[in-house]
Amino acid sequence: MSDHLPSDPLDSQLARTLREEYRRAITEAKKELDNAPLVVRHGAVRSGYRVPLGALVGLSILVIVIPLLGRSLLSPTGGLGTAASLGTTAAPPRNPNASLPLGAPTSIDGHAVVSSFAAIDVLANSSDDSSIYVIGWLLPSSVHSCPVVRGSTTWNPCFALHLFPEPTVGLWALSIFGAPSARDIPIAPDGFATPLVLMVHTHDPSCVDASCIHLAVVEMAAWGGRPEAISNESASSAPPSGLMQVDAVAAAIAAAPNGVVRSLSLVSAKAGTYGLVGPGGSDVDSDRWVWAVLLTGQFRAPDCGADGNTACVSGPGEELVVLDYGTGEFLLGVRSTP
Amino acid sequence: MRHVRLDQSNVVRSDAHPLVGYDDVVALAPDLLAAARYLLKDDAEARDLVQTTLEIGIRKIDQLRDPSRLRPWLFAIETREAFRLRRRLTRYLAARPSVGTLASSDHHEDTFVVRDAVSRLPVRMQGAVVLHHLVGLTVSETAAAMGITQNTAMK
Repeated sequence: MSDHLPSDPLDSQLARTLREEYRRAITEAKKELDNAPLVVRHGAVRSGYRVPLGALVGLSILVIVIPLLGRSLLSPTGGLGTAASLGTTAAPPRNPNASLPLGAPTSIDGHAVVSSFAAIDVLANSSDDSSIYVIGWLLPSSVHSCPVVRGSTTWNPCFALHLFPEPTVGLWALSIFGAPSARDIPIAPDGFATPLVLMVHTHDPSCVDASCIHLAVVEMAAWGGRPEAISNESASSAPPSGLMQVDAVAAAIAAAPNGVVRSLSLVSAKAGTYGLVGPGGSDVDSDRWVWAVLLTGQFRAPDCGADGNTACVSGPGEELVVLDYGTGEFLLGVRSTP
Repeated sequence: MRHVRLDQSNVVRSDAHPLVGYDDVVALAPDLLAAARYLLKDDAEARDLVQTTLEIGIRKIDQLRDPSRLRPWLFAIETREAFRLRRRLTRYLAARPSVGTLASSDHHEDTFVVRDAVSRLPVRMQGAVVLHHLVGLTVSETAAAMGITQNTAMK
């Protein structure tokens, strides 16, 4: 049987016209998607991990990302523009070592094994590409969702692994980026988390600017323990009905007043009372629970139209987006440029 | 235990298809969106359809037996999801006829005419026309995507 329909000249002409129109439609679609990328959940997202979001359905984005960009919301000296750190957390684990698996090594080849939480400072203070051993729990669906990005880059947070301090989908995880030389990383079956010691390094040769110099790049899995069933209990002390971090980040990106045009990175996403995590000088109640999401990237210039023209792209900058913890309601955005 | 590998472009790829990754799937987004606009009248629904298609595609990439068939495989997913969505929308559209209007202000006029014409076809015929004549799938691929026989697809 022929795989193409028989046609007379008139049909052929019509078919050509249709194809031409379709090519035009593809071009149009490509242009639109370049300006307004779709959002695609990436990885095995299980319904049990989702928080009902109502108005945010369809906007759910990104990943739990923890790039180090020279500022910390976890640092004791805290706040934007202060000490370097790697973390993003709603509430750090009460006891970072509480959920280390039995039999986990405390050192490998003479190097101490640090928890994913403790690794924040170790990575931030690293000065070369020496190997660092980090222990944590890798969940099969720890990459939750991701925007359709234009091309892939080594530092694309969409493809990072996320090492959790406990065998649960908590609000905090350490992002581990990939490397060409990385060996296979074991992933547990759905419903289970794998305890792993990952050998990582910073100062990766493929990092060409300061934004990625302290990011953890995986070399190999140095140790793997027995997978455990994923718990739904989180160590967070945050109110139980709030947005998960991934959804807060999604909402923040969607709510960024002028939109991120390119080079999006998440510096941090922290939940807490506004007085702790929010910027000063606003009338938001200091006791109100909020998500403070700090993004970097190139944003659309304030006086620019929506056509994505290159001239409309401002220089690199940061935007702190503050959302209501429970509803994701946009409260305020603060733009700054280096 | 499953394994993933982080390759040079840092894309998580499955062992089953080392040649097909996330980028390969999302690269077809414009193609899928163009077709979605012929399958569904509402532009927002079309974007949602592509989003859903890409999500399913990425999640089920291991089920793709022949990596060279990625495009027809994704269009098969999209078509099935479109039909499913249309069935759901039918009841809604009956109550909210305005939902079905085509967002055409920034579209080429001829494209609008073609879309309008295609949208007036019966649903199944519409799918076959879009997949075969617009997307360029073969008859067998079109039939497979729609879950019908080749003979039916050719009618």
